[in-house]
This record gives sequence, C-alpha cells and structure tokens, in this order.
Amino acid sequence: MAADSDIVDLDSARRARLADALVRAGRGDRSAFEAVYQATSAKLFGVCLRIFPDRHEAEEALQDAYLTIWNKAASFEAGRASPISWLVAVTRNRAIDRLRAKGKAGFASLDEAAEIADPAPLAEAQLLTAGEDAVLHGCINGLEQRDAHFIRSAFIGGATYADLAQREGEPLGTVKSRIRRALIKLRTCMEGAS
Amino acid sequence: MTMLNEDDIALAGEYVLGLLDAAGEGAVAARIATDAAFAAEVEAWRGRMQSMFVGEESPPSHVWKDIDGALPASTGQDIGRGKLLFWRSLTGISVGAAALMGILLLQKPDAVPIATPEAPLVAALGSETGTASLTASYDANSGRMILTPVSLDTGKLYPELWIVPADGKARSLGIVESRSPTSMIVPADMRQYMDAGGTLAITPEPEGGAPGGKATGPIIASGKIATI
Repeated sequence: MAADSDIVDLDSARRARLADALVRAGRGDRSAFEAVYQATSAKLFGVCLRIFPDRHEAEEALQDAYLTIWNKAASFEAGRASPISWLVAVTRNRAIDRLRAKGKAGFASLDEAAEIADPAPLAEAQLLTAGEDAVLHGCINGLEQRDAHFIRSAFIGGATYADLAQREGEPLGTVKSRIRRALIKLRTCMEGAS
Repeated sequence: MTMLNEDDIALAGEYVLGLLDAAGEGAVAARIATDAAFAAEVEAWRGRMQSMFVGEESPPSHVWKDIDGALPASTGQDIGRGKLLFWRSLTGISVGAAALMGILLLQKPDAVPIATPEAPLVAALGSETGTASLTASYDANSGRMILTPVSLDTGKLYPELWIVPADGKARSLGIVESRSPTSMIVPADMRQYMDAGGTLAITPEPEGGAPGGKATGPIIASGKIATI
C-alpha cells in the first residue's frame, strides 16, 4: 500500500483532520460536526445505498446515522480507532438495525451484492481506497462461492447465523464452523496481501 | 497483552459481520471493554470489511438540513454550552468522563478530591451502536452505588444491572430506574466483585428481573469500573 508515498501522506493528513473534527464534534462543536458531514457524507451515503437500495430509505438511514454519530462522537477514541472505519461501523450498524426493525434483514439484493459494480473513479478518495478494495474483493472471491455469499449476506444484508442456518436448512453449528473457517481464511489472505 | 488464538480472531470477525445473536454480541461488547488485544482485532476487522462499501455518492442537500434541524438547539455563545458539554462528557465511555461524574457525585462542589481509605470507583456505561448510557459511582466504605441514567429506554422491559468480574460470569445487582438515579446498597456477597477492572452492564429483562438469575436480553450498555 505504500507504493506512492505522496498518496499515503495525503491520506494520513485527511485522516488526522477528520479525527480532530470528530473529537471536537464529541465536545459539542457543531461546525466541526458539519465538517465531518462534508468530508464523509458521500462515503456514508454509499454505505446506506448499499444496504438500502431504495433511495428514500437510504436517505433516512443516513440521517439516522449522523444523529447517532453526533450522540456517540464523545466515545470515539482517536488513538484506538480510525475515524473513517468508526464512522462506517456506526453507519452500517444503524442501517442494519433499521433493516432488521423493518423485518427486511437477510437476503434481498444479494445477487447484486455478489457482483460489485465498478465504482466510477470520481473522487480522489476512491483512488485512495482502490487498492484495499481490490484486496478485499480478491480475498472474498478466493473463498468458496457459498462462503463468500454468506459473508456478504451478513455484512450487507444483516443476516445472522440463525438466519443463514434457517435459510440453508442446515444445523446452526455447521453453518457457524463453516463461516468461522472462511473468516480465518479471509484474514490470512488479507494480511498476506497487505 | 494476551495473544489471540484463531477462535478469538474468528469471534472478532463474527462480531463485526453481525453474525452473532444478541447474547453473543453482548458478551463480545463486554470483552472489547476489557481486552485491548481483542479490541484491536475488532478494529482490524472493521478496517478489512470497510472496503466492502466502495461506492460514493453525495446525498441530496435536504439531508443535511434535516440533520441540522434535528440537533439540539445551537450552542453558540449562550450559557447552554457549558451544560451541553457537561452532559455530553458524561455520555462518553472514557474514564475521564467517569472520573468527572464520580467527583461530582461523591465530593461537595467546592471540596478538593482527597485520598480516602478506599478510593471511590466509577464507571461510564455506554455502547458503540446503541443509545443507552449511564454512569455509576460506588463507595466501597459504605457499599453504596449510585446509578444515573443519561439515556436509557428499555421499552416494556426493565433495565437490570450486572457485575461481570474477571471470571466473566455475570451476577445480577437488580433492576434499576430508567429515568431517575438509583441509589442502592450493594449486597455483602457481591461487594467482592466491585473492583477496578470489573465490568458493569445493563440488559433489558422482564418485570421482576431475569428469570433464574440468567440474563435473557442483550447488553445494551456496559462499562469498565475504574478508580478515580
């Protein structure tokens, strides 16, 4: 990932600015919170659109996510977590909560999930993460197709072990040990590639 | 730092992917609060999975207007700001916030914090994804604990408080109030567990508390006990 030091430096400067804005938002600074929104709303809207293909639902989920971010910003620990992965995790988890509350958790749009559309390289940010995306998708696609499908169903569709076992008509323990093996494989692949 | 084995690594991945049931998630949340190596692995999984979301698109402008309108009233120069900062600091899970609350609860406003034979213990209970947050302070001399909810909604269920010491076994400390502070005397047989490093946690339970002393609901807030 350090092939181009200019890009890495740019990335770490952006990250430091974002972490700083998030910490200030945690202290109640609304202009810092707006800066967080400006810097991340396209990314987080992408997260919501992935989970809610319906645009209206995605917009509601995004709004909900930012209100949660405002309330939780004080618990962000800059030393322990990357700001963007913290923001993505809060947004993903809120969106999945909404999906589950609507009884829609599971398997809709999984075919779409399996085939990631090539993102148009509009933003600098996409160029910066392009390498990581290739690593993750390469490693997921290196798993057995069914395992790859399970992992995407869980992370994007909100499916739990219980949901997957029920759908597959397999014992919970079987599904669980299968996915745990796939996770270890996925991690080994990603650690080896980075 | 403890070395993680493959089971731990898979567990961190299962947690980030959202595969676990509520009880499993609660157990992992409590472990994150107490095990730095495990917390780092959870963070690593978040980093790995984050690139599952490749697409970016600017949301329509009304989204920010709606968010801005839903925030608490502006905190410009009015005196509300200090109060807001005070409350926001309490909702953090940092030990700093816990310490602040402990001092406010246990000392007179103008008193200088002084060492006592048994230092007061405090905890700030929260969660990364939910909205529940509380603060706790405990005085080992008297056995008195004060729980103050900042935000706590368990719907038709009742918030039950648990102490989880190093052995990982949750022991009930009873149902607490969700809208007002609860002052309780911790039972004598439970005081041995009230120690820095233990974790306090809240689960929603039916009226009368968890049947058989086993939690049935997910952990909606948890926090590590710390010495001031």
